[in-house]
Amino acid sequence: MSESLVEQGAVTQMADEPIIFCQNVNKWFGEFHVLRDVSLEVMPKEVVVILGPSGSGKSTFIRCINRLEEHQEGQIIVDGMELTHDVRNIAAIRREIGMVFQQFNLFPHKTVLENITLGPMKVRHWPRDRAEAKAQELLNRVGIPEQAAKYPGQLSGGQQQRVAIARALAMEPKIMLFDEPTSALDPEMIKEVLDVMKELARSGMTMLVVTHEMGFAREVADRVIFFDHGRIVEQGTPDYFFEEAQHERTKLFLSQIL
Amino acid sequence: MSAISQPSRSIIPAFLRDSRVLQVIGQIIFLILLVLALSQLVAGVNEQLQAKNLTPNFSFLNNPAGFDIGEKPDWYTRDNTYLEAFIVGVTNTLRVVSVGLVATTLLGILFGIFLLSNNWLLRTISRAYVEILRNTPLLVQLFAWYFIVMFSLPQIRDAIAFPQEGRAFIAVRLLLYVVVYFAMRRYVRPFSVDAPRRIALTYGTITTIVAAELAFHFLPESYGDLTNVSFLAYAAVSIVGFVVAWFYLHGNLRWPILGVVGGQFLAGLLFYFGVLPNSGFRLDVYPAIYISIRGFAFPEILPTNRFVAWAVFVTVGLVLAGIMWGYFGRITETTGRVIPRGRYALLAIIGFTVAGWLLVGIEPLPTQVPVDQDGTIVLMPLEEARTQDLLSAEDVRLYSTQPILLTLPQERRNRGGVLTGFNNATQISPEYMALLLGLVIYTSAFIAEIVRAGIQAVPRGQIEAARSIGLSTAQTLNMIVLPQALRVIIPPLTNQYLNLAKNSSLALAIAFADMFQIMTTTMNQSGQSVTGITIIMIGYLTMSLVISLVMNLVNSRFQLVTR
Repeated sequence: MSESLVEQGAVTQMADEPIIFCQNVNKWFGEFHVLRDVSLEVMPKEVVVILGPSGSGKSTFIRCINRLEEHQEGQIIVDGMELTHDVRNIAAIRREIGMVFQQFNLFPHKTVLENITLGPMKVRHWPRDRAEAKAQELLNRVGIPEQAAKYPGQLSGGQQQRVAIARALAMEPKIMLFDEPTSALDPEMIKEVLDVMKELARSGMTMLVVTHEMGFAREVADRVIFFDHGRIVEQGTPDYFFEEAQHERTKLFLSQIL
Repeated sequence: MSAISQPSRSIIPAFLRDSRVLQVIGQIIFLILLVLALSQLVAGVNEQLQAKNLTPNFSFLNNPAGFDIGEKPDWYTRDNTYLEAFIVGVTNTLRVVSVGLVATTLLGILFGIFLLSNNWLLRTISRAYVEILRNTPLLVQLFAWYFIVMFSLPQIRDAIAFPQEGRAFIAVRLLLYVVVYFAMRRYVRPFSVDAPRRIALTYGTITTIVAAELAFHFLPESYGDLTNVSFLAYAAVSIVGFVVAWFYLHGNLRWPILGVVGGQFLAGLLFYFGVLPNSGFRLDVYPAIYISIRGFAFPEILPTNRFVAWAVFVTVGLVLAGIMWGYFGRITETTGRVIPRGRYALLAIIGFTVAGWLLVGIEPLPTQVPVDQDGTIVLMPLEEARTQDLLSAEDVRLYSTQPILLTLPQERRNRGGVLTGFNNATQISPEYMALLLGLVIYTSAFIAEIVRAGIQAVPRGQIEAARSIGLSTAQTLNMIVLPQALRVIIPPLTNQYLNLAKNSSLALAIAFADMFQIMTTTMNQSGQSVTGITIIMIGYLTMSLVISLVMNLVNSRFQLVTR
């Protein structure tokens, strides 16, 4: 394990096995070493917020967890399945992981309802009734029950992102990944999306969130992880991280954004 | 609030300074000028033509054409009218355009996908294909196809026959390999996983097959011959290779190389011990396609009198397949139960087609048939009439148990035994082929670029989102990428379709009798150029409008709804 890693603060202990287990994950984009010996365990129901400057590899890391990016060295085990080149494993793991993107990535040629029911019907083979009932329930949960028949292009950014969260939840995932979910939103709309995410965290979902929303990290996170140059530099509880961070790089980062 | 200032007084009345009125007046003036200019032009042309006694009219279309057409249906002779000649031309244009549109689409899509391939060689070759074709004039390409490619085909007496007449040999070994392939697919799942021994096994099996086939091809005389010296050399090389790979190779190459060396050794053993079966099946083969400078001769497809009955079976099968497709689709939607509806539908179609074919053939043929022998009708056994070639075209359709007859081209030879032509063949002229190839390949280069751009226009995030909710590669392509790519592809694709349709008039250059070429001849002979050009323009306009209409209907299905 890397020397620069400082691990302190009481991480909420949970009885189970870790649901995500990463060991010495390395990745290169050509010559560029994006991830360097990243090791991380995430327990079920834990909310982990990943912070770090641009280009530090935090997005790449969570994209490796559902294999949108391939890691080249090391081991990633999700829910007891190792991510390898085996397409069956990849498909099985993707069914258990929901992902929310910075740019929403809703399907513009499908209605909100179709966006949400597509996965359950085509991948989980649910009957239409069940998928639509689930979709409507999720739209209620994210606060936009009346938008089901509209197309994504007819919604505001905040509404689109909430539909994207509903779409990911429709697969009933065990883990949710958020890749800067509020970075492309107008300031007024950030809150509505964060509220949905807070509610989700309280409901016991395992979450990995890459974000620049410090307020969210303080309020919701069980653990905060700081990435720099492809390494986990420091991690701990929000209280420890924001008040007593040890590492120079972390202090610099915090001084610039707080 | 202060008073609104009045514009200064002017001698021009207020309504003439109103911008809305001015716009209307401007348009009226333009229209008057246009009508004046056109009427001057028409009057001038009319006067000139009247002086030459060539007033534009349509009655000349009923005069006999008096010229022959290279590419024509059986009914056309030089005694037919100009109108009938033109109809032949229209048919020929439609033959090129309809086949061309389908072919260029398929070829364009293929190269469009190749342009995006991860394979360097494929990508580079496709890029070269596109750049060469779209940067040289179509006329030059048509000349190349016609005067270089078509003219380099052999004379008809040396026509290339495909497949070559003779015996084909299907070795039992090949069937064995097919069995091995399916067994590997079922139990080993080659290339899908990282397990090193599976990789070695996959590579080993492939090498065994390749090496054994090479041995059969190059060393057939030493099959089963252990005393052959080359066997010892071969075994030594294999074993050394294996040892080197085992002790000195590590990393990604280790297991594939071990597999290859092992497979090669195994193939050697099988070959020199004579274990692989060396027998096979023999088949008689007759040529189906002849290619010569006079064109292409294909087998003739002839629907017989039993065709309709069979077509009913096929239709029932298709309808049933459609019903099952829809019904099972609804079941899947409402209950979530997955039914392989594609497989059932296919089974229904194949089942009814085959069953219909067999049932239609049950009714026996008459043993004695009346035939016309030198003017008198006589009864004779069917087989005898057939062998003596006494059956008329009608009789051939009547006395067949099959719904469709596929007759191979029959060589027609003169007294010296030299090939002069073909009977019972569907013939395609070199002009048609050159025009079709030229248009299809030229247009496909543009379509390839449109398809590539269309696929690239779908944001990567769409694919990632689709993968993240668990859709497979095929589902992502069908449900997410293609619908969005088509939205971008269809408008420029329509343009290319119109280009192909209109460019077909370049047929003139290589003397293919399309509607433009025939109308040119007509105009030369009758002097009716105004009427002729008008008819041609209406002809191409109609074709283009039909293509546009169809494509606009397709396009409207893929438009996005935004606010």
